[in-house]
Amino acid sequence: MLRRFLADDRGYSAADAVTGLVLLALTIVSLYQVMIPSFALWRNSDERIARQQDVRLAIDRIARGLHEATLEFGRMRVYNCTGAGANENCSAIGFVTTRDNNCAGQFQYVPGTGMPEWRAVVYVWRDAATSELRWYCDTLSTQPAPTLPAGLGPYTVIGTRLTLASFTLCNPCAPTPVGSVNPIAVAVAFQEQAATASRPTYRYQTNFYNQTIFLPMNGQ
Amino acid sequence: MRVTRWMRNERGLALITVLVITMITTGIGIALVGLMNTDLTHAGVQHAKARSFYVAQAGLEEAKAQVFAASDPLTYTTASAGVTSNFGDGRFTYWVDNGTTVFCGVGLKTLEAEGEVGYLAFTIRSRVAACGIPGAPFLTSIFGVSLVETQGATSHTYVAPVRPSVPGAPRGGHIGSFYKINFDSSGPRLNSLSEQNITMLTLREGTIEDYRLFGFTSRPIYETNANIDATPWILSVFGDIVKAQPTTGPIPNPCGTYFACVSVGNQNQDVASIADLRQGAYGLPGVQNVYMNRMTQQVVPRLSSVCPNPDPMLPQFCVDPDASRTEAANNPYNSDNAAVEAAAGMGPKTYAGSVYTSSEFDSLVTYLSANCPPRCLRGTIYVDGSYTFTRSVNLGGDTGNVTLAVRGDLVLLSNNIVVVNRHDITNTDQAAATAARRLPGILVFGLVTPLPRPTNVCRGEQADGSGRLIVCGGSNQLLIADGMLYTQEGLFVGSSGTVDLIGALYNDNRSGISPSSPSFTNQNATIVVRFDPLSLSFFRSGLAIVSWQQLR
Repeated sequence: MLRRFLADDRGYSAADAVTGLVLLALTIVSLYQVMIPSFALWRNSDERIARQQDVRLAIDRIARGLHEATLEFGRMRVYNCTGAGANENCSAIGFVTTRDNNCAGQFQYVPGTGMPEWRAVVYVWRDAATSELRWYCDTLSTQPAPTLPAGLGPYTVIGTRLTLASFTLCNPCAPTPVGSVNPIAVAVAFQEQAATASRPTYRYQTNFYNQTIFLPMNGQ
Repeated sequence: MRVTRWMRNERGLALITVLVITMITTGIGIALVGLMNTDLTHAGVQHAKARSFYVAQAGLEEAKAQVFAASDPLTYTTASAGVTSNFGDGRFTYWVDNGTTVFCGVGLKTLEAEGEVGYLAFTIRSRVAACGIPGAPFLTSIFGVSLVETQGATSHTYVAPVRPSVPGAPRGGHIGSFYKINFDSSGPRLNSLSEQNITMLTLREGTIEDYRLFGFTSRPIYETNANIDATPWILSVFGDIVKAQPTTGPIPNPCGTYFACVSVGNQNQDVASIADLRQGAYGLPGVQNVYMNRMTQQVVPRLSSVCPNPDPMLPQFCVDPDASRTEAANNPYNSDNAAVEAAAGMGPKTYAGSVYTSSEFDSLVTYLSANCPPRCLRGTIYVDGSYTFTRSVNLGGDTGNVTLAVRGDLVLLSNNIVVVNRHDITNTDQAAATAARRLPGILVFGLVTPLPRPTNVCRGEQADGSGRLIVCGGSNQLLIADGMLYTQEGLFVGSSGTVDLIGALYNDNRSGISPSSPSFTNQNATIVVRFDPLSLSFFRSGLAIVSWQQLR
């Protein structure tokens, strides 16, 4: 019976197996090709979420400071501006904070007045060489310097892979922020480059842009 | 036999293939979903956090609205549990003077609000807080409904803070108008702190250098280029010029702007910025000695001469001469004032309480000029008619509590007179000091119907009982007052006169908003207003926010 079974050539032969595997491979590859748009969509969504998250984190890290700041003349300045108007499309910003303890402590009041007491200056700037967004608390001053001080440090990196950081003291601020010497708000825009793209870039979005308008709430 | 048949049978092969492919694609899918899930969760939490922030901010706005709507904003509070309300897809809770985290200070309102938003199994929270001046509808130290003007090369106006700890803490007050703020030439000085030479001021504390008003211990260094803010940057210690527009809509002005305009000379060109004003733009002369922080446009409520104010949000933002008269009639210090009347030899009075005719008040002033302090008036004093000071007088002593309400015009006529109405604003008891700071100082209400024939007073100023405060000026003429200084028809201060006010100025206008009826005129005089925001609580309407913070 065993001999008959072995002699029997019915069932799977090597050719059948190879053919089957090739067909399976072709099927999988075909399916993969069909899935590529879906995969690209996923990749795109994943990248978008990740990058937006990065950018939002960077914005979140300066959001409280900007909300608690003031647009009073001399208490908020922007630097290295490239926009058409004054205070437009600048790569750095300096603004005052009432918070002590390296700009992260308690909100301080002018005694008996309920008004903010400025304690330090926060500088945020994009370093072109490293594409980092950097943050520095200057506790020795209560007014941003006329020009961005060189060699600020030790700084904290609050964003990476930024291809653009733009600060505009705007008026009007919508639909497109326009720089002004009488600003009513601050427009902050960040653009981040995706780290890798395993497919040609036309398949994926690799630059992510986020703009937020902040209204400093103090100094009214 | 059966095995052979099974081996020959190819049924089910497709199923195996499908199963394998399904397993592979499922595995890939699960891996991809797993990868995305973490990012989505993070993004979701961030989104919920952002929403909770705005829900908290909505709670703060609701708290403000409740204080605005309160019949008495000064005493309005919430329960310690706060007030909770659903908002959007979350909810907020707000506290007024009963929060747990922040205390702004005596006399101030502390507002706190927490926003909550659910996400998955979590509740995401944000919390914000603000400090405000209750009863103050806005924050300006000098406000003129109509024209605000400074005239002449020797006019000095200082809009300083009260007792600054260091320069800029706090900064000076704002100047605002619904109509126009005019500098007649390049001469007038506004917050010009010893710019060329040390400027000495004779005020209540004696003779001091003007820069001390802003907390400087030495003369600031100036930059002559208007576009450059010198070191130390002095502009940040000053307040703003407020180009205002009433909540009811724009008031026409000669510049054709929706908000009040800033002008130089007799031109009707609106100046856009402090730098433009100082350096001279649009062909206008530069007013180089003007130092303010910036120009802002604000929509602010207009004081009503009708009570309650037709504005439902600010029903108390009105002035009622009759209320002042009633206060004077029911003055709790009537017996003290009666003793002063008796000492002054005053006979039978026309009115009960502390309500006087002009001639009765004049006999009191004659007595007080020699005897106050220690024998002074107290509480609300109402003068039924216009009055002219012709001698120096201290109405209530240096720690007094007099509110002088005049139904007519009030005039300081002569040289060498000093009129004082001070309050106990430096009392070491904070509650007492706060009450004193809220007390209005001088209220100049006009007659119900102004006189048909105005009389000349001084320097072209005419009195018709419409509610004007005229400080004629002249050597050594000084008006010292604390609290709110309100005029129904404007303030004029003439050459060499000095006004020293700790509080705020609101100058209304009843005869029409135009250049011919200015609300505030400094004509080669010195006016020092040390802005005390609490003095605006006199209006007992609204809430002016002075600081904001995000707690978490």
